[in-house]
Amino acid sequence: MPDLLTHILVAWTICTILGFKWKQFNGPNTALVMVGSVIPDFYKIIIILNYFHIYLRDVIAPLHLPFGSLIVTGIVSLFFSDKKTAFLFLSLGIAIHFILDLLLINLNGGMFILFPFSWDKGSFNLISSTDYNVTIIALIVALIVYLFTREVKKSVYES
Amino acid sequence: MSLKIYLYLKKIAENRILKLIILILILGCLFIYYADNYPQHSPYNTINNPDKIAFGGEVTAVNSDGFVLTNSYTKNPQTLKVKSTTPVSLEDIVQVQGILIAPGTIQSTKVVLSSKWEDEFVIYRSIFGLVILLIIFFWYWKFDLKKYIFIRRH
Repeated sequence: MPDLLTHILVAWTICTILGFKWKQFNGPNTALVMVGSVIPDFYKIIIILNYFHIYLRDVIAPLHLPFGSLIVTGIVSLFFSDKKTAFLFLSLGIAIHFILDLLLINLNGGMFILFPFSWDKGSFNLISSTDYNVTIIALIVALIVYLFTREVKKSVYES
Repeated sequence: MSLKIYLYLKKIAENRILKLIILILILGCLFIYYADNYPQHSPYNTINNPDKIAFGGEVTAVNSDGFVLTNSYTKNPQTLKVKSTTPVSLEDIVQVQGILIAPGTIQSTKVVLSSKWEDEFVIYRSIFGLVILLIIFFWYWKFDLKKYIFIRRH
């Protein structure tokens, strides 16, 4: 995975850009997309479990696969009053997460994108999971989008 | 009569607890299915492809002709001796692909290396991101303890 900061920044940037066209991408819904972008990494709980000598890596791995993440999204969306809207925005977040994760170099062949329907693996093998340059680029783009948005809002307010 | 059945089914479908139980059961089934079938479907496992190996882990020893990798995310830590010319240091995180040349030893064909600090830096960035996310999320949403749902603040 790229780090959570990158996932969150990319989710925020995409929602802010989409917000110029669609008003549904407001603050609360953007926050939902950002939460959705970290849902697949609930799988990283294995780091804590491993510390306590509980080895479940090969059991809970579906949490970090699209179908498993969608089920978790369904569970999380039950805790919102408008479940359908919450599910849609959280799902957009997990889609953003997996698009980023598909870029990662994975010598094991990549992730089981269509699990449980297929065991085919996929990965574009472009960037290392520890490459901090990706985070820097995401940070710069988010900053540019933030400054641009602020200017647009300022000009709308003044006119 | 049919209306009664329809209303009854609708009531069940609207039951949050029931939905929660069903989704948790589906997730449990996915876990079991994955754990049962993963060993047969890994493209570089020893069953399907006894010569070609893909492995990831931490460098636990460095030799003149390579290094030793240990994966400690299993009950019995797996260790693999890798023959490689790639310079590595102890505690580096390495992904390696190679050909089995002896039991527990491979000749590497591809190596992806991350230093220990690069690996730790990912965790620090992630924790920072998580803190930012929690602040933003609870800026817009709050949890209603009576209804057990998140509601919008603004």
